[in-house]
Amino acid sequence: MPILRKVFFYIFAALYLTICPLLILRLLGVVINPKTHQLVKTGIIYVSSNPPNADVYINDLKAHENTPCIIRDLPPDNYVVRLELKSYQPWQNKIMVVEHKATVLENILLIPKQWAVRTLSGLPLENILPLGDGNTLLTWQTMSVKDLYLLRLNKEASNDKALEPPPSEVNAVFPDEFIYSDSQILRFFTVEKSPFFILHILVANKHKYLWVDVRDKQVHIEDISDLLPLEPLRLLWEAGDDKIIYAYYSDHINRIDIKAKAIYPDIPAQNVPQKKETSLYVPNMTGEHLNEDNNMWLEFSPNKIGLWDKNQKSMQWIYQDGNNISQAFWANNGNTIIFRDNNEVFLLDKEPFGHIRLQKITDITPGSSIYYSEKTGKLYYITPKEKFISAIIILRHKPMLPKTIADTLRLKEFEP
Amino acid sequence: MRFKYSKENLCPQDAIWQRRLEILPGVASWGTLIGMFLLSIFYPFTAAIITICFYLCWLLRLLYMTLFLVLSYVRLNMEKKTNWMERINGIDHLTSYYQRLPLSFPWSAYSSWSHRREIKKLLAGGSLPPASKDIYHLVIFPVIKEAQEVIEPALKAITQQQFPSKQIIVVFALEERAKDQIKKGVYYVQEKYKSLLLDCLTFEHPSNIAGEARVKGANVTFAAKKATEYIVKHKIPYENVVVSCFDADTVVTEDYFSCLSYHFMITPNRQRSSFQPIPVYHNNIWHVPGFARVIEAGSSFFQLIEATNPEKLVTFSSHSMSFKALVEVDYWPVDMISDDSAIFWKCYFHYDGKYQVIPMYVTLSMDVVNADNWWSTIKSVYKQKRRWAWGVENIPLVIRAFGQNNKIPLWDKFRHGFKLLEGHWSWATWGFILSIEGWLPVLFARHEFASSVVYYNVPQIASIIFNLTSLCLITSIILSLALLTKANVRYPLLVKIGHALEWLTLPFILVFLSALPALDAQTRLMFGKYLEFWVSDKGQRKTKKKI
Repeated sequence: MPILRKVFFYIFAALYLTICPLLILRLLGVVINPKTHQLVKTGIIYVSSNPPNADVYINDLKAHENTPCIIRDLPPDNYVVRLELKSYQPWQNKIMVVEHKATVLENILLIPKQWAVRTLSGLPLENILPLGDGNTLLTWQTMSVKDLYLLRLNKEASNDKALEPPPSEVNAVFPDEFIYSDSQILRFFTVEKSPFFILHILVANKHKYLWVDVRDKQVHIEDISDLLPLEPLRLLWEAGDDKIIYAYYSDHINRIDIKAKAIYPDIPAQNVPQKKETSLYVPNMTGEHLNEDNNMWLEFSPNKIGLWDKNQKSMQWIYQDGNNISQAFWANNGNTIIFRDNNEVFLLDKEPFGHIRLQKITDITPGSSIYYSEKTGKLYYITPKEKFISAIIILRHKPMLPKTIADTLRLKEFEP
Repeated sequence: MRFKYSKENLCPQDAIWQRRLEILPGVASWGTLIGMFLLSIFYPFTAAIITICFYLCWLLRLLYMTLFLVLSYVRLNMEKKTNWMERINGIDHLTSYYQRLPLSFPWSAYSSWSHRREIKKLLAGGSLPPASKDIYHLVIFPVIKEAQEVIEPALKAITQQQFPSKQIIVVFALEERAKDQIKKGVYYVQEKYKSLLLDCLTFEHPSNIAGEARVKGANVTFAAKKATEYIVKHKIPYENVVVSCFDADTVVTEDYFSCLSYHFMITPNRQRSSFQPIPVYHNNIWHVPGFARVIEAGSSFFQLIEATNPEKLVTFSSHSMSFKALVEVDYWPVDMISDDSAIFWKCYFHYDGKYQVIPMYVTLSMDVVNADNWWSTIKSVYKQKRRWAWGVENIPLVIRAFGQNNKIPLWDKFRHGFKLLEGHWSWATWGFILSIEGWLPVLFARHEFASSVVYYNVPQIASIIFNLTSLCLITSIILSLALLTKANVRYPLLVKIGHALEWLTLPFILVFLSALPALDAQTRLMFGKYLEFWVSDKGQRKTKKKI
């Protein structure tokens, strides 16, 4: 047995010394060219799409695997990558592969040949406003309290057949017997990530302020008018705080405790919660959003859309032909941008790969807003003709997680 | 060579070296783990390449070990059919026996061939053994909290040997501080079985002997010294005595002492030899949580694999050895926890490297650690493994002894030293690298590395390697099922399937009940926080449940 052990030890040691360098070469992407029998340094293409399972063609040759997949052993060159999936427009781009490098085509959004539109309510509506937490949309027919409705996005049914009779998924915010039903809405106050809003209404020439919590089915309303004797310029509160709000006036700030019905006047500015971070200042900038990885700002002005890389401290303008860009959203885990220009909604790839893909999604009611929810993968808007609130399915699957662990996970479908 | 195999009462220079060398294993293990962690963050590219080289090494080593595990298991099965008494009687009449050695059956061909070769070696060596009727076995059972229900089956098994039990002396090394109930049990068992043996003695080990630590080695040494007086008094030559130091729960098979006697007789250098059986943990195997079964199967496998490498074999747990050697090296160390391996090293240095461990393909069964509940069992297993891993305390002593001994060949020093160091290092680190650290380069990947070919190829190559290792896992499961005793249950197939599934706990075991206790032991040694002997919970023998 000891002799056998020695023999096998040397065999295994020889195996190790032979396989290990080959494995390291393989790891580095160095392969043997079967024709020339020479070592070739290669690169790879990683491609994932939304929806997944698209056929992948590299220079018209079909890959063995569907998306998400890794195409290995590609000698450095330019390759035409094409993704095809039934009922979707093909996606094609010329991609450069560099030795030892991976070219990552992450979460390529495949655009359907026909967008699936779903009408969410048969009521003609004027506009929409998302609450800060992104779970609820406020919508209204007129600026009257009784015409204010809400749509809960997480409760929204997943039926996406566009031609079905419109179910009524929007509900009135206030009950019919509400004493301020006939009042006129002057302003909405919302705060990012907060599920609450404050309604500024006019009742018999008197200004009233209603603090509204819509988290439960039974909407909770608090009349806080006594705490706001003067009309504030703006109202702010911390996202998770349902007790304290700050009323901003031209020369001072009041701290208001809703529960205790107390006013703490003239709060020093440094004691008021500040917006934690802002992006680069862009002249005429109309909006900004930070992406999920917190490393890139999406900035937009009436005619331009740009990306400000926090780490690189550089601005890249990816679209400069806008007319009146007033809203823009990150979509598809930060790989796609959806924006409103005048009364049209467009979709734009973050990474153009030398070829900008700008796709019109829909028209909307003039002057109305849009909202894109990454949670539901849908775009919400008011249709121009019927003025119905509708949703277009942009993502059928949750986008892949950041690519560091991407290839260990598969896409999940949205839960109903 | 005269080498004081102890860390106590050293001269200042030796004490400094002892302390430095105590730090070495911990530094090596922590250095590896922290180094890999930092590499993964700052040089993920290098870390990924090292990881893949390590995975390949691990795969080949697993395949290598599995191969010898299978061979060793085949040999163990083969030797089950061996009639050791017939061989012993044959050696008593060596020359005539060699000439009329029977032809072997195909399934035992290797055993017979090996037997014939050993007899030839014995004849050539000229060191003829004592007659089997003159061989005596001294068996020492240390007892501190083992109840009567634990020690009685152990003693009963000794009285039911193929080898004449009237040539066996059993000694209970009873700690004076043991509870009265335990002492009562020992004396009861002693009286009950005394007449079936040459003698059965109990020696109570006083608690406060100067120079001793509260360790098992001190207890068995005290008993062995008392037994020496008995042996001298009865005029039994030391050369004819084989001493076995068993854990109190050790139940031997009926051919254990005939097999041991055979190996003692057939080994030319028998007075400078230890004899290592294969420990299995079957006494209560079906009454412990599943993970504990898997751990102990792993321990048995390790010993089976080690048996195929006698050149580097070190005594472990219950084992036997020449009594003459034991007396000459002044018995077991009285201040070390790992007395089982330490006695080998003591002998090895005393005889300037001319000491060996002979593997015996015979099993002896012990209890699996089992406490009141699942969580307590995990804690007990953890402490037991940490105690085993405390064998790392041998490293500074062995290296110092190597430094002072010029008679041991350099190659032997390197072989033994490397195996000892590498064994403890891999024990403490591999589990962490395989389960956690190997994935860090991919998890910590920053943009530059995440867009490299290496980043995408690591998971692919790793998954191929891991898939190949499943071959070893399947082999282990099959062997573990074959090695286990039959469960006294209504649906044995279900039990087998259940046991196979228990192997899924292996990643958890690898990290928390193998690598972590080993790292714990090395860290304690590194900081000079020395362990005290802790007796495993083995007193739980529950009634068998029908499934």
